[in-house]
Amino acid sequence: MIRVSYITIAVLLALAPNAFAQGKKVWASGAARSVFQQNTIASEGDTVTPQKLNGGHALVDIAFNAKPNSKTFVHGMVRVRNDFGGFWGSGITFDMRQLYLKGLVRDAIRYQLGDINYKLTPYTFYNNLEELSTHQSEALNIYRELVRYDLFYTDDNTWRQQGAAVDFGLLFPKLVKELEVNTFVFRNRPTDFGQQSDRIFFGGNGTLVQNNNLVFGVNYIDLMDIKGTSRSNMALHNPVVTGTVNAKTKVKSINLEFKSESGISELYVLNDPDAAELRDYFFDLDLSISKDKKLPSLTVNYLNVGPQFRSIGAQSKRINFDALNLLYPRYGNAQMVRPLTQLDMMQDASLYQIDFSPELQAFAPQYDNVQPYGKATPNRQGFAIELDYTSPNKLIDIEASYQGLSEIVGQGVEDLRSFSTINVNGKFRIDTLIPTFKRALELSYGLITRNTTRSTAIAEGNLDLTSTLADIGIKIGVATDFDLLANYRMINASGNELIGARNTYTEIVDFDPFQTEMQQSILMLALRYTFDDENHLNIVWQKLNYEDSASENPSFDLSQFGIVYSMKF
Amino acid sequence: MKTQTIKTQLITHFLVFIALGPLLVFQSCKRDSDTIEGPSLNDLYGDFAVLETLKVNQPEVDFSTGETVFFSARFSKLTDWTLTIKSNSTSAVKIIQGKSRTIDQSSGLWDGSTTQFPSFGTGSCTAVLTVEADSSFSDSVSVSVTGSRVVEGRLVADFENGINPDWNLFVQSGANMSFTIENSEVVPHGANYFDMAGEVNWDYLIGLIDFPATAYGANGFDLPSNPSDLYFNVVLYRPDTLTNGIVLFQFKEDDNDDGNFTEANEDMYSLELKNLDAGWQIVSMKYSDMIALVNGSPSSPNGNGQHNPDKLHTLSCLFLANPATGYSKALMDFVIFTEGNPLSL
Repeated sequence: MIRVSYITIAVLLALAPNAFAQGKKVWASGAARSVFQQNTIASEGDTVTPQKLNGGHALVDIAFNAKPNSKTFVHGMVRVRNDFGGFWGSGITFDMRQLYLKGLVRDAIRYQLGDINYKLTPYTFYNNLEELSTHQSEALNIYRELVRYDLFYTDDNTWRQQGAAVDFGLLFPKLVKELEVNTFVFRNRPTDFGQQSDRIFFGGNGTLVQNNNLVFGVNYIDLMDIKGTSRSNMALHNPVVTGTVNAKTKVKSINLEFKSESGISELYVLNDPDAAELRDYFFDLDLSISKDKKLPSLTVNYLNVGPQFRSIGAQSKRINFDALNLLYPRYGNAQMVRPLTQLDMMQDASLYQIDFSPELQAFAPQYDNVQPYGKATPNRQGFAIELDYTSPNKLIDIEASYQGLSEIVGQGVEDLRSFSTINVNGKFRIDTLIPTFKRALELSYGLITRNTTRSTAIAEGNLDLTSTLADIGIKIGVATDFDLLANYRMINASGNELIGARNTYTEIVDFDPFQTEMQQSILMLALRYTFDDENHLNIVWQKLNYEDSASENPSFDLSQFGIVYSMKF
Repeated sequence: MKTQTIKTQLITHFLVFIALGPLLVFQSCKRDSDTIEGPSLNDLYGDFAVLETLKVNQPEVDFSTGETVFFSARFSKLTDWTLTIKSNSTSAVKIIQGKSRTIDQSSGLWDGSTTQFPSFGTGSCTAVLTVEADSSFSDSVSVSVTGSRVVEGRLVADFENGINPDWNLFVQSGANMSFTIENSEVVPHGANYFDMAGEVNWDYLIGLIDFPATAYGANGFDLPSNPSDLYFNVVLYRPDTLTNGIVLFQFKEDDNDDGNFTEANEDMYSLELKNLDAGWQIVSMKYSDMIALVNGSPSSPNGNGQHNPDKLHTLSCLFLANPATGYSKALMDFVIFTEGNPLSL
């Protein structure tokens, strides 16, 4: 006997952020912010670029929420934005920011139509974090959170899509506890009625919960063009199917958790004789060991992702490294393109994208050459080990990991690249040592070193690229609701690489030599006043220094003073 | 206690099974890409070396019997290479090019054809190999041609035996007129070519030559009925300094099979050639691609509107020039229809 379970609509109710709105059928919510920045660039001998740039904006996102009945919820959000300098209506833009409808059918089937945040697994449908964001102190998050809010990047790695999603679950009386099914279909790209067909992204997963300690899952996705929606008869397909296992057990007070995901992918284009047919597999095994909160937890991972593994939903990048910075896109007397720095990556929303890319996009080896496409980065195999520890009194929070990977198939030669990553980051809650100090006193730190090497008989094929990121941040509660935030972060990259130039079918057709001797650092000071958890006023000063002696770009300094007020209601 | 132990063992075995399951499954799979990704770095950056010198598979070749000859060599890296075969007695040149690590039967094959006229006759030739990867490198080998290549097709005119009396020749009475068979320039094929030249200051037409089907016996041109598999070919020459000549070929079909061509109600397709490159060149066109022209502009054919090479009544060659541009000249040789492929000499 299978009986249909009751699936809660708590998620729907949770979307009503204003406690005062409970019980109402229509209410408003939203967010607002105002940003003002004064920027100064300095590059030796530059007499062409305007040194100072001022700018800012104010915007309000107003959402109308309606609950016409107990099982239906409608949300529509409008953005009104005014860039500073536009008076009497000029420079004001109105945009529909998001619109969706969700509800529950017969207390069993949950659905959502319109704008949807969705994800599956790191190998199927996953929005990987952008570069330099694995750990950032609170000061660096001031601007980053604005970008993430604008781009719908949430911390749970979902992609913003448009379409429909349907979820339901089944409960079983014996043998199996529960079966959860999630399905979706999104319109990923509209037709242009010429040579570009409608592209849809569909799939879902089924999760079989044997009991609280054993869960099996199957995931399937396919990104495909719909033939007949344009004059082109070519149709891209990228199906990926994976299986997951999550098992937990306890052996003599030691907690063991095993997680695995494995699967296959295909990438092909129907009716395109030039297109490659790529097919490959991956597997990812993860074993976590923990005892109790007094001891660190240990995680050991092994992964093997084939060189032809393609999963567009998991390999698309957030940052478009081919894009130009919005702030000082060119500089110097030669008006060269200004390289993309950590400051730009923190606050320039125009560098980010919300669409999938069927190509393996450009990446920046100076920032991440090890897994630029996340865990689904093709042509990687190897082990990783990670230790996590948080002291019971919260004084120490530390995360340390080592990852040793190599290629599976050599690029240009049979010799393989070796990759290593050492990552240490954490936080000291000094205020826990001073009971009389009732405000925040925290020290955060981070260090990531990535190295790529290859030795081969061809001199140009010998590679050695090292990048190091180190940051230290501090948060001091100077008065009630007033915090002083400071951060210093430096990134050094040195060495050479041969970056594979790929054709539109993601095959490597050439190699572009890459050489860097980059040094960049950023110092940030901020004063924050907290009205409440969702309401902050920040006064921020930061200075960036950039130099790369291996490139033709002249070194430059960029300083910025800003006032950032943000709130949600 | 014992039950707990058994349960623990079961769980342990299960964990081992699900941990190793994917490994066992996937390790048994063979990846498509077991070699390398991308182009070889050796090809991009490696030193060039000749691993096997240039060789020819036989010292003599008789192209008249359909025999071929091939050259071979092997390099340490991928490179663009050029094989230049020159006759030791004439200016005939054949150029074979490729990009590979090896030259072999598929890439280094020579069937006796020519890149730069005249065609290869009998006699000794020298093949010279050069590569892009090393401009100082050169290697050569000799081969002797004992029989010239024979071209298969329906020959209309090669001008080797003079003017066929059944051809219709019309020449205007202009200045410096020449519609004669000559051999003073390079001859692309055989020993003679047809010289069309003159200055006519009152008309575009300088002269013409008709090749009626009746000049070729009872079966006429003896062409197949499928226009999509038939090529018209001619070898033409434009002098360096004269660009005003127009060579117009007209294909007059006897659609109603009455033994005559009537322009008013039968098809006439045309091939108009302007702005030819300087020197000798082969011009080929698929019969089905011919269009009807009136004063140089496309028009509808007057007959059944179908390409019927088997009903070709007369092939006319008109040599034209704008009367205001003065003297003009073109040379013509080896007018031939071929099936399947365009002419290769």
